[in-house]
Amino acid sequence: MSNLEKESCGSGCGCKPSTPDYWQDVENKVVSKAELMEFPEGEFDNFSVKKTRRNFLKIMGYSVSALPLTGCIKIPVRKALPYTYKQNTIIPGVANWYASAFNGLPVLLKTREGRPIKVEGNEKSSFGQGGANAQAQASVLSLYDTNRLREPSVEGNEVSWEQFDDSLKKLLSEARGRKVLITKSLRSPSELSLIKELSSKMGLEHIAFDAVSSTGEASANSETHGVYTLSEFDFEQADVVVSFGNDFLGAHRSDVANAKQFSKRRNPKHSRGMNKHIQVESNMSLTGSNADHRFTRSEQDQRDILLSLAAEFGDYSHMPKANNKEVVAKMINELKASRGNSLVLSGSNDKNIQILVNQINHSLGNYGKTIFVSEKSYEKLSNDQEIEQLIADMNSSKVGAVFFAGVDPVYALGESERLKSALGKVRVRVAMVESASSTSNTANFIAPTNHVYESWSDEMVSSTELAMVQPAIQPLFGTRMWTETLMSLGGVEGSFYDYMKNYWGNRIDWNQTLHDGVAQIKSEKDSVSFKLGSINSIAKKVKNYQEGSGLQIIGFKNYAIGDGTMANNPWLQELPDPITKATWDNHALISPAYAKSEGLATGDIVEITSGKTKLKLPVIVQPGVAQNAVAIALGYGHSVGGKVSRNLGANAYSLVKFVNGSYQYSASFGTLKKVGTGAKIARTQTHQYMEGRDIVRETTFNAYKKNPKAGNDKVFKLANVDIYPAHKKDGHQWAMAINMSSCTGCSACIVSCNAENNVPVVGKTEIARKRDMHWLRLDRYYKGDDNEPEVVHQPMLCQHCENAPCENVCPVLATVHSADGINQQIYNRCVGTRYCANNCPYKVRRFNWFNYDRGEEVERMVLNPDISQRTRGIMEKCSFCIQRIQDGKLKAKRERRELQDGDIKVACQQSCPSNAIVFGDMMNPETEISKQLADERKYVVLEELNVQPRVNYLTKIRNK
Amino acid sequence: MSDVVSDLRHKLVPEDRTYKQISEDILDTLEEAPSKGWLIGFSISALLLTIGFLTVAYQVGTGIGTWGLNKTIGWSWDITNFVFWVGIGHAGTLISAVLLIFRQKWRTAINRAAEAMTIFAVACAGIFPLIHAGRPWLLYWVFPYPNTHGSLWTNFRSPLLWDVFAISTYLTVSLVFWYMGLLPDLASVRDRTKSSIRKVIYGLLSFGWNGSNRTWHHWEVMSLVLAGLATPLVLSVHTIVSMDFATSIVPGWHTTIFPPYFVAGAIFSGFAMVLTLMIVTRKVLNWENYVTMAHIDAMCKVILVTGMIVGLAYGTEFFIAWYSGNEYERYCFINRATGPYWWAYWSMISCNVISPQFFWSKKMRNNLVVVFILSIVVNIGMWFERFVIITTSLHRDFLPSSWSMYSPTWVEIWTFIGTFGLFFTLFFIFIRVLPGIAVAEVKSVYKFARNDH
Repeated sequence: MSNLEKESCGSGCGCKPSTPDYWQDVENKVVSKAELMEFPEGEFDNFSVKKTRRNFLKIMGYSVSALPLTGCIKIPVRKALPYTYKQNTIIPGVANWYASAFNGLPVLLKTREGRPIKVEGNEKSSFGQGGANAQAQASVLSLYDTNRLREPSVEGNEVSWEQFDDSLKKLLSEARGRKVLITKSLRSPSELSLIKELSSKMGLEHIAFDAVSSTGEASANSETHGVYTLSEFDFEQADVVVSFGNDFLGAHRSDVANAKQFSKRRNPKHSRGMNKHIQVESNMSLTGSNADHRFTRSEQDQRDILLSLAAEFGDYSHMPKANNKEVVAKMINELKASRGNSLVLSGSNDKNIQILVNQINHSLGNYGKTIFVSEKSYEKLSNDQEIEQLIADMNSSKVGAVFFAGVDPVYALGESERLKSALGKVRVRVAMVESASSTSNTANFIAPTNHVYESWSDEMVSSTELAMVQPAIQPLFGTRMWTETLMSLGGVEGSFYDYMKNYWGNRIDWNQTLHDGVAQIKSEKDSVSFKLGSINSIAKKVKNYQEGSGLQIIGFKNYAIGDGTMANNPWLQELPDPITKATWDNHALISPAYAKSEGLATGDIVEITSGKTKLKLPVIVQPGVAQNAVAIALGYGHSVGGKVSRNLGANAYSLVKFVNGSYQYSASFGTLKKVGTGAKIARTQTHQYMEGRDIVRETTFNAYKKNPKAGNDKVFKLANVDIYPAHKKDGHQWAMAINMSSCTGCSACIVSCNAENNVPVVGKTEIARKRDMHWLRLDRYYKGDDNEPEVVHQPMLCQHCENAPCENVCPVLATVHSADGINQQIYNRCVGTRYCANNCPYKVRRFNWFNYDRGEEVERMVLNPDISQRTRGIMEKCSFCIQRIQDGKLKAKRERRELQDGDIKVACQQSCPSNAIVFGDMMNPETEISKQLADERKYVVLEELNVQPRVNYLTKIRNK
Repeated sequence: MSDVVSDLRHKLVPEDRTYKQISEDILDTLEEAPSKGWLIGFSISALLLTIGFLTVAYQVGTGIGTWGLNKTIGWSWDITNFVFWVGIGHAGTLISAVLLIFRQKWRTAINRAAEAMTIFAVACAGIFPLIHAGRPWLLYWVFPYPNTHGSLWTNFRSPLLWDVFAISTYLTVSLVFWYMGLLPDLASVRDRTKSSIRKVIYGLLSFGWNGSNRTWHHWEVMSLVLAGLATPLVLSVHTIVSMDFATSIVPGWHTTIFPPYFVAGAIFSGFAMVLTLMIVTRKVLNWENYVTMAHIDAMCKVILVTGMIVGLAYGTEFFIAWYSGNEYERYCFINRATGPYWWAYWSMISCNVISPQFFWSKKMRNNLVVVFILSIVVNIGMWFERFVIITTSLHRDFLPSSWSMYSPTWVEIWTFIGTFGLFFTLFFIFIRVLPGIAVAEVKSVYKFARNDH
């Protein structure tokens, strides 16, 4: 990949990316029909000269015979233009892979004929270990978002970049006061170096702002360790994990890395046994749904429990409330038994709570073993006080210019009128954003910036690993990297690519790092030591925390939409929330107990009032929410932005409060009033219980240790009474195993499957009609008490049955069995009787009810050319990524070798952050799949039907 | 011939008529201008048919998504209506073929209309498999015609394919049988009419019928042969339709009782529909002398018997669901009776099992208002039976994560109404242009229970 600089010049090599000539040809080479029908000059000149009878007949003859020919010409020619000169590295039909990174996760980008079409985790990264979460997977679709801004503009008028720079420089020279650049928390060494250079050149200040802040944790580290930074974890070393509402497997941060480490300890065969995970939380989180012991507790109760732990492990005394005594005793027992190998976490953004957590980890001796705090020179973290200070300064007219780089604080402060009016007092407001946002609407200079896959950058994804961001495509529109916009203002010569390469110099092997995507900068995390003495005063502050009255309103990041930055991404909007299974909206999640007492039901519409803020939302009754709380996902309710995100749900950021130096997401209290019923909630699963059926088999770790077949001892005596001859089993026979213990239900696999297989997006109305098209879904069932439920997640996809019920019933043989044991759907043969879907016991077949919209031409660039797009009236379903199987087989054949285990990785398996999915040839006893099929935990769903699925499951084991 | 006629033998044509009068009674209506009632009825039917046609055009143009189906429920109103109409189309062949073979002479007054009804009902039924397909324009692939697709042919393991054969055979044989029966009557129309155009048309339609001994002989033999062919079809059509469900693995579908249960249900609904139509027609066309109370009484008895067979089948299903120990099947049946579609199930039970019990009473059987209402109630019940079987089985099957609910859209509702439009349009045309009662056959049984010759 070292010749990348030649083939994909990026936007960093100095060329002006104003007009994308790459596509211009395609667009402009539209030949009009009239043009083709004109006679070439001189060809038929004599016809027009002599209007004789013979010539008339000649022309008529020509016309009549030429007329049908026009039907043969497909006009306009848009899609298939050959390369006039063959590109060295682009072979049509063969993918090129580029390493990059997305939001702190090293990824690989698959490009076909120059177009990025798929994101996968980078297996060379020791941080992400090849996993990719839903947002990273979906980011490739955002690249082709037609709502992206295309040209720079000044005061609403489109201008050229030269004009933009000139007028901005002019106005900037007139502006008096602070010049502030606002970015997200930055971990890019080269970008930070550039900003530092600019701050000396043009007096630019840099502050960071994150929509969902982690100021509390960073400030706590600052007090306990003297470093304003976030902790790093090693979940694999932790025998006991106690988490207070920290969604570390879901939306919190570095979910992929956490899940990769965590899932290793969910394997009962791990040399140190399974870990034990205790979660206390007020809202059912993805992480909580995977806990061995989960306790639904209000925020107040969580403080009570935490204070009890602090009392046990620090210089403070506290007696837990009666209802918490059992929880506290359990935690203390478990934590004491694994000093130095435990981990206590909190999801709170309250500094004091995080200090107590640090103290507990410190006195358990966890620092340096499972949790690390180190000094990082390459990091600029957000601090909520800085943005509050900035707003104050704006109001007192001390700010002359603000530059927003990829942040949307107006939205993320709840469509803040306070910020909008403050911005009105700033002379120069520059928005360096990808798409229009609430913030960019207040700006007088809009500098559309490149998508990350069109950009050069770098990022420290952990304290030891550097990831490179390199472009995989020329900028699609007339955009410019925000770093280059700043460079041009500050008079820094060259492109950012030059700057970056120069910055790294000899410190890294440039070509190798670009090729691998990652480089290990340091071998070890160097830790700083714990400094805090007494926690007495802090604990008192936590205890004397002022409660509000009424319902506690909890704002949380959900897995798909996160903080809302990617809300305009249809794959993410349509990704069912791992817990609620709802799409395309946020909801008021209330506990079953509260719903019962107030006479509320799922689908009612409520108005939540807190102070002056009112939000109208549909209710979902959610098991596992604390009784006097309502949980609302952040990131919805965009009033400005793309067509996908606009007017979906309500903006819960408006309920976030600035308390004690940080933004707090559960500090609002309010009332809830029913104002309507019958809201259409687009949920992919509406029945939440297993009805006592043998679908998910589970056991406890203790039972497993005694008998590995525990929970899996049901035996069906299946008579061999098939009336049709069995399929031959020779050659490769593909099979899959899904480890129910590892699977967290995170749903990254769904987005991976969508991207790989061109699964259409159907929209909110269709989902509400239960017509989701996902080939792979995650079934989520609750068990036990509705207020303290246990949760199981089960990936469900085509089971590729040996005796497939779907195959028998198709009248036209549109679904058949392949020689390698795959149940195949033949799209062009399907007439759409839907009999196969009716007869599928797993209900995994998906019907194209309409011709689904694939978007505009730019958006269709994301489609995988290996997979046909299904039109209406056709059944589709999981194909075991047959294109990948074929690709793997061909590659082995080309290289004249046997197919190796691991050559073929199906899309869901590749992206899985917890390695829960194994795929391979079950005829080869050496393969991982063969080993898993021999495991005592292996079972198949609905075994008694004797359909003999090729997808197997391993029993879920809880360590309790 | 005995001079004494048993009291137990009722005249099939109660009033004394000459053969000429019989012809006039039945055939005069073809020569007259349509009545006001006919015009109104025909216009309404044709209007419904037009709306139905436009609805189907919209659906085919837009996609099956215009229906209320979803990922869990792949069939609902479409196949419900299909089975409903096929069931109605059952009585005709039963009356004409089976009763012919069993020498039930009373059938002669109603067999023509019943056979017509069969053909129209099968035509209505045939629409649904066609339009329920995602790509109906490719549906000819279900026929095993010689092609260039290589080894790709039809799947003979699929019950849907058996359906194609069963329905098309049934339609063909019914049509031929019906037309065969029409020949002598068409000739009568030809001979009686004074209009030269009609003479030509009916002349062509009657295939040169000349009333000779040979013609009559051939005709009698042919009728018997066709009756022999059609009799197994009475059993096969609905048996095979039921196999669409019985051979699948969906709980509530996968049950061996379906073939006899479906056949009984079809006769049940078919006779109900014949009753509905004939009660109105005999009144409007003054055919009371031919379609007598004795006919209605007999048909009520058939409904009573088949209704009880159906009721027994409902009970057996429940028992077997419990007895089998299959938890999915058990749940399916409990869910039918107590789940979200309980109202459909109890509508079915009250219409199909409870309502026919009135026919134990002769008084009820002879009360035309009661019979008319109950005949409609039975058909409503039979529609619900198919809805219950199809929809409530699908909506909650094996994995609860996929359970869902179904409700029809306006497209489905209007498509169904449209098929009623088609059915009645055809029926209205039928009674205007073809002899609605088999004149020749009625004449042949006129002497029954009369000793005046």
